Amino acid sequence: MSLWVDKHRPSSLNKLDYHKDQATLLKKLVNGGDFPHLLVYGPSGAGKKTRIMCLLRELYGSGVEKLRIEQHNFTTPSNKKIEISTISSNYHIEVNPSDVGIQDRVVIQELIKTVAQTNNLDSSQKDFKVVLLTEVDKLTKDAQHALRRTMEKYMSTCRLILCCVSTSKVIPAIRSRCLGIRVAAPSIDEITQILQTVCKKEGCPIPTELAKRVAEKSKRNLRRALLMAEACKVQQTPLKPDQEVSEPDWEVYLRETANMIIQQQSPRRLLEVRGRLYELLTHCIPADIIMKGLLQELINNCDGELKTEVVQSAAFFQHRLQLGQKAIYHLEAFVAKFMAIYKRFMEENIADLF
Amino acid sequence: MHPFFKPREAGTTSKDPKSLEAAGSGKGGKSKQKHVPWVEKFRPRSVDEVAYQDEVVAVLKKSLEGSDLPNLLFYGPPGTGKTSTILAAARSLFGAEMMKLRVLELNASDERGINVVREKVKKFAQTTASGTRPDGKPCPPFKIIILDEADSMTAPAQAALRRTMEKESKSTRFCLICNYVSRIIEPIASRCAKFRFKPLADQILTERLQEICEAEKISYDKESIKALIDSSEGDMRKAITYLQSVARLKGDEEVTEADVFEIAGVISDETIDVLIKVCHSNSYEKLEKKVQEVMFEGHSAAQIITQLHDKTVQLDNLSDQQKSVICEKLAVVDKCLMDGADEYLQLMALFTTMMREICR
Amino acid sequence: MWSDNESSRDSVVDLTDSPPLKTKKRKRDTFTSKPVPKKASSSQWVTSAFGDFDDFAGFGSSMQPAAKTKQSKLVTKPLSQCPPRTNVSKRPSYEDELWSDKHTPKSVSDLAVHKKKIEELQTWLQRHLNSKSMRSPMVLLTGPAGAGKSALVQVLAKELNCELKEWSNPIAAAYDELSFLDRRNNWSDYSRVEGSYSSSQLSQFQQFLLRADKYNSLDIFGNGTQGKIILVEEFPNIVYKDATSFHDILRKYSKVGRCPLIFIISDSSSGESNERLLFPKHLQEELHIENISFNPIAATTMLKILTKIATEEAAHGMHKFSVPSKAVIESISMSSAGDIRGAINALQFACLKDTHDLLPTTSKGRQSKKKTSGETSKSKRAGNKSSADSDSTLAAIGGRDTSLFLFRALGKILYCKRDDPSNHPGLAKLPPHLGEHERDPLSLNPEDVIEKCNLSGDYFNAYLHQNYLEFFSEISDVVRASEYLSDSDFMTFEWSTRSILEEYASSIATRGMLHSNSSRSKHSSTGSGLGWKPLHKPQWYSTCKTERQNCETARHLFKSYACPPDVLQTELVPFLSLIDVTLHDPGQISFINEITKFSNVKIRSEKLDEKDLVVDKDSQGTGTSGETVWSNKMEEDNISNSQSKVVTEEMEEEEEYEITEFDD
Repeated sequence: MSLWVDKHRPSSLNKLDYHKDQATLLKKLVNGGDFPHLLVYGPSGAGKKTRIMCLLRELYGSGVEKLRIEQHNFTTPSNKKIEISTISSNYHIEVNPSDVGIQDRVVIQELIKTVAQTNNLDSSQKDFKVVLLTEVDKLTKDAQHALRRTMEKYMSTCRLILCCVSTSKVIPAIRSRCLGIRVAAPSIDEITQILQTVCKKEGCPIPTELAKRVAEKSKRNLRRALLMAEACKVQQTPLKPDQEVSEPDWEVYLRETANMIIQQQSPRRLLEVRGRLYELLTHCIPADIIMKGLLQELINNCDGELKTEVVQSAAFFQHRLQLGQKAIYHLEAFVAKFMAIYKRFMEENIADLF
Repeated sequence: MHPFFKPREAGTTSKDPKSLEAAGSGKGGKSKQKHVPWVEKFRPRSVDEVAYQDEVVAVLKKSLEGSDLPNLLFYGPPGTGKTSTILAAARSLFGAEMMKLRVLELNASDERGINVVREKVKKFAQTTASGTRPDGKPCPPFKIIILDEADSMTAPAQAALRRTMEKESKSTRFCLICNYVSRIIEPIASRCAKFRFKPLADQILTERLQEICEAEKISYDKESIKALIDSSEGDMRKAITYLQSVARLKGDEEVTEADVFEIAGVISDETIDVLIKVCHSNSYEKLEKKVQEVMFEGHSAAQIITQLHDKTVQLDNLSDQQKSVICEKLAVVDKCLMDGADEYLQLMALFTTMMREICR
Repeated sequence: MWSDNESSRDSVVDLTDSPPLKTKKRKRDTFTSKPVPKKASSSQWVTSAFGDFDDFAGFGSSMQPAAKTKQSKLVTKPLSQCPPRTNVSKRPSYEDELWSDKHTPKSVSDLAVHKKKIEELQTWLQRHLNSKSMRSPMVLLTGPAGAGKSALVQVLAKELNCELKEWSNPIAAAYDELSFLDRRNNWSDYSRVEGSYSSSQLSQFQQFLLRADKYNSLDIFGNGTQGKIILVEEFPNIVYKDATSFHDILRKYSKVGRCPLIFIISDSSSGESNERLLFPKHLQEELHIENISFNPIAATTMLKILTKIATEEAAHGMHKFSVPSKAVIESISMSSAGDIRGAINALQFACLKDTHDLLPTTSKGRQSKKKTSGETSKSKRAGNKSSADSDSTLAAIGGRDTSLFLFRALGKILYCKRDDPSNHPGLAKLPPHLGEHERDPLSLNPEDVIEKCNLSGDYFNAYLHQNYLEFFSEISDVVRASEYLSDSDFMTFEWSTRSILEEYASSIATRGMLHSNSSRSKHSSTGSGLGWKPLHKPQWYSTCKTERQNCETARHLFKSYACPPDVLQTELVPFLSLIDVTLHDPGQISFINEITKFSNVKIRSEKLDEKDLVVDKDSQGTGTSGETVWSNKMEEDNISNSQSKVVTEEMEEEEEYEITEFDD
């Protein structure tokens, strides 16, 4: 039994639930049997990958759905071995080069070279393969330049589809060589509707009210919405309109942490918070997500002008966190800063009362 | 099928003719012309066709008449015809056939490193050049080396180049192409005849784009041409590339303004206006919601910042001081984004600053 | 007596408080007061010291570097007490065995390892020796060097009457060198050679595993061993390069092998352990490899064993030597950071006739403290300092590395001593609007402190960060301190300039830290307050390690879902735990259970629990008996020694404890 997200993923461009105009355009694009390099971007859970897979299916037929996981080994110039796993069919290969960290350049160069040179396309009439690179925005600049050169070099035997959240971190040289496809997040209504159809298919109709709540809680992330709905189903069937929407444990934990910060502002409390931050980090929650989550929870407890100040410092420390090596310094500095701001605010308020 | 989206500079690199041929022959001679990148297809064939750069063209033509060329340094914003000009000049000097032998084009960002450049330049410069064409017509007895993006060469590489320039001056002419002349070291700049390329006027761009549309039988409206010009910022190459993408995506349908903006990743004016307006509300909640919405649309923060900057500078209801505060924050945020900071947080930091300034 | 105290105080000064200039001056004073001509005797000492080392080939080679670096300090010892030694070569040469080998534990009772760990391994062995399960049993022992892992295996094998087969790398090292030479001459040739060589080493390893399992050694003597245990402590070099083929061998073994297979990996101090490479989590799960991790030997146990060895040696010792005093043994066990092998080596060195000459300083220093304990605080201090001196001396000989003063250095920064401004007459006042930044002059130079503790600035910052919160009372101060830490990290983000900026970064952090603690801004406020606080090792490194491990495991286990890591970790995995999807892989199930569980207990103490046996003892508080305090203190040291950084010195605030403890 697979997850609803996978099970109900549309497999052809015709079946997509939203951005239908775009789907028709895409269809037209590949109908010629060819397409330029694509740069697909949009927020997480908007359906970028789904769209790409639909596109490939349109192009190559159902053969692209026969996937296999492979391990590829590369040797860097410094003789270090790196290993990366890919998902591929006969027609395309999907890889997340940022998996290997700073060695991503080697993967880009070698992998695309291999793909471009092994021209073993069997039954299909297409004379190019597709390389799907995910998280292009996480690539190092070095790798992006390598990618740009590779794009020129192997244009005749392979097409690249690049997938990323934002184009801000993609160098202009790459952007200008690709046809940009923006995939906006589905609206709340769209998500609600999809949830209802999926749940119906699963035999446990979801009340509109609950569907709407799930959609709102998912922050317009369809994948999350579907996961949440499924978790709700596990929690209680049949689904009730006033049911609580399940959340992942780490979010609950993060909220508790935020509440701790609100309750008390002292070095001792900060120490406790630090322990919890460490706990979150060991559970693989990325530091910038912790930062954003904390901000989201904390800001609800603030007044207007305070919010501005808090957001500014969050942006400040998040930037450092991105560059620095010890995320905890910056997370902690942010929490300390918030504590100070909040404490001052509370004291002023109390002073006003008297 | 032919590769549709030839890389931007591909047509101008030396290996390009080969790759074009290879691709073409592989396709069993399908309508070859049709899928060539338009940037190549509509590149000016002769110096006269080069749009808008009258002074440059005039000077260049003079020296062409004398069948001699000094070392050249072309500089100016991207897409103003620098590469086109030198290629056109070379064609008129050598003819289409000889050009392959006589012109070497090096893309500095492709083949980095002093040694590679030096090696290639040396090898090429050492081949002899006779004073006649195969068809018997006279042609100048020298070769041309085009160094594209010369400003991305390191200073040591440029210094090394200077030596080579002196050594091979008898048989070779260099043409350096760059965006910023200030990044070329003085000894090299002083050895070249400098030509500045002006940003293209909208009028020129419009004409050119319309020509192409006619030739390619694209249905378009005025707004879409305007949108193309706006989003390409005077860069002809960009404009043509966008046009081709749009045409490709839309097929036979009419190209609209929205399509162009979509391809170029430009955010609609309304969206930016709404963002500025919400800053007037002095409500954090409203601002947060709006920014989130824009982010959910998948727009890139960098783009928002660029456009916001253009808008802010023109806003009438802000004092200079307010503007300067906002612009400073814009700069900081841009740097942070370059460093890979979170887009949402940076945008919020920017807009809260803006809100504070406006509602002061 | 007088010279003892004088010299020891001198050396303390050298190591800590005042600027180096001053120290030199005083040192010179001490020297001039010595009756023995400085030059001659010192050179004599140095040469004889090396003669000593030569006598102990194996021993010497391991200790020499440390000794060399500390030579200068040895020279500053009271030279009058160093009798002119002449005939080094006449020393009897029978003492050629290392005590650490000689006193290898013979039975379980001799072992210094914690009882629970012994039991754990013992039951594991018994279970797997007897059962005839299909899967071959494997166990992985990890822990710092000298925690007694190998000894434990040896003893248990003996006790269970098993044959212990140990893999040792084939002596192909010479060949390796040869091929290295080849490389210079002929690249292609080399690659061929290397290929065949590496494959041969791996296949040898494989053969060893499979054969050791199959063929019983000829039972000529009929001593009827019960079974066989295979021990791999040394890994073929090639596996580090090519972990996957090593994994394949293990998989093969797990199918065919029958006897228990024990792997031992010592934690390296660099933090990046081979464990992750050779035995990644998913492999451990796949092959059911159990992992028993060992802690450093507890200080009390260590003390016991050292004393026992010392007395034994005194009884049987062939050469002249006297039993070292309790204090010496204590300081040895302290400086060894739970490394029993190192401690025994140090003990051996300390017990030698010649080095022994050093030690009266130590013991007398302790005694003097006993005497003065009831007297004025000034003499108390002197006594305390002399003990510090002895620690540093011995640790220089037997300690794991030279960063002895971390604990102290941290204390100096965190307790933030300030001078009385009246001692600094020329001091300018800040203008009134900056009044809140007014601070009394520091009594130390932070850069000196950092330099002395021999840690990279980055690392020192991590220690500071772990501990600074305890010393702050105002959140507004914390804001500034934490910002300085953030600054220091931010400064070093670019690797190209890191080496230059690192120093400044740590300066910023330490100075910022000192300045922002406003409660300790005045000379008068720094003397009192606070009280003694335990210091802790940074959690950051272990957090990072676990995080990396978990991320890798997640990626490996869920690669069929093909989503980016962020999505996987924050969405997919957490939700999978909420959804009753049938997962096929037991690894996935256990991982999900593990990763989505958040503990609400106090994380701080839990973290310390991992390496140290401290926590339970710690909660007992400081008992009345000197013994408890001592052990507590020792444990604290262990805590503060991440990565085997040795701490020998207590903080001044702790004086009271220290004194009571020697009073018994």
